[in-house]
Amino acid sequence: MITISLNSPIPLHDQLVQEIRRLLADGTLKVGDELPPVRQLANDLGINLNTVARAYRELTDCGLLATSRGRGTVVLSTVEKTTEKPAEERKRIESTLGSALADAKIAGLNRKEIELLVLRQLNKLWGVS
Amino acid sequence: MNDPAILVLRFFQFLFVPIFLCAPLVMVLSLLTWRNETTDRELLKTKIRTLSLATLSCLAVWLIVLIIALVTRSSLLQLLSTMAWLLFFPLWFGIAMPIARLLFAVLQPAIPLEQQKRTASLVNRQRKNPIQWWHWGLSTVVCTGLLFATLWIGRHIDQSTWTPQQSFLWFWGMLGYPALVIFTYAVLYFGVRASLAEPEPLDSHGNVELQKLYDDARSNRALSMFWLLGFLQPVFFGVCLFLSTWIQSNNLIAILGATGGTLLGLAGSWAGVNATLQRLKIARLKMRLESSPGQ
Repeated sequence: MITISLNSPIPLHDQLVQEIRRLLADGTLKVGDELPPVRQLANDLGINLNTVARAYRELTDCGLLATSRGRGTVVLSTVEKTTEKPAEERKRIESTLGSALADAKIAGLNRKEIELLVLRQLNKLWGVS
Repeated sequence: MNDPAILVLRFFQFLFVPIFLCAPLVMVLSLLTWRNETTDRELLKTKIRTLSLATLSCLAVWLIVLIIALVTRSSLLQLLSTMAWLLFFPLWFGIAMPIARLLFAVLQPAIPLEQQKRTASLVNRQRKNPIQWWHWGLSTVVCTGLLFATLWIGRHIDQSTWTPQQSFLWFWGMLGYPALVIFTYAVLYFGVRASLAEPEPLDSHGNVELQKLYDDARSNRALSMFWLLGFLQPVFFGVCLFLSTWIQSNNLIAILGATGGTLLGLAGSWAGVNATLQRLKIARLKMRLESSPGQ
């Protein structure tokens, strides 16, 4: 299940991409799973067809989804096909993580609470260690 | 013509077209009690005026064609005046249905524009089509069987006693029936696909009961469409064609047609009422979930 918010500053297609990536990361979507047709998802969310199509296209470009005649859109891989070098990619992820943690600190959360949040997310993705 | 049954038949044949043409307007007027403060009254008034004018125009066309047919004794015009009942479809689907939708806004699955957080399932509903290959197979086998049985009876019956009209009807029936079945299958296939893609907006917590109601409603809708359009209707036409070839009794066919048509109509109404009740159930649950978002 995916949820989007119309009053979020994040564009709708980016929210869709993030939601599908989250489901791929936590194992809800597995390789070979079929995604709903663009029209169905757009109807259910009450958004434009092009928004959904753009999100699917971005995920296809990353090598996560594949679209084929007859089968529609399916999960091709749960690991992104990246054009960046590993060091650059790590740097980008570190920067994104840094921004998220800074957001949490500015929102008034203390170190313990942030650690708990991070741990919860880690457990979601890799299971409880 | 002295046969009272024929007189009754002629009377009903005469009433058939105007009853059909007036039905959309009568239905809409009987639904007006469902109006409430959220109904756009101006739009409703305009649409009802349009429907009334369209109904009157259709009745006028039918009456003019009928009068000319009676004066000129033209069988083609008589047939045309009988077929004027087909104008029911544009009146119903083009004007009356949008009015009904206006009155029953609660039945629409569309998401309220003010709803900021939207949730959807990632299940591909086209893959949950309840109509399996054996449904299509069963219908095809029965219809093909009826076609071949009619063909066989037609070839083994003494056709020398047939009037040219009977031979003509049999020949075109043999060609028209498979064409009708194929056309019905095509319409049904695309109709079911469209019905499976109908919007099914979820609440923000993805309530399981709501998903179950959507599943049931979708499945019932598709199966009702199949059994009515994809099975009962072509089989009914096939049986009529077979019996009209075998027995050659117009009265029997008239009785069979009237009874079968009425039963099909009743089955269609039952399916429609059932679908509406399921939509109401979904609307009620959604309203309950929206008023208590924690559930």
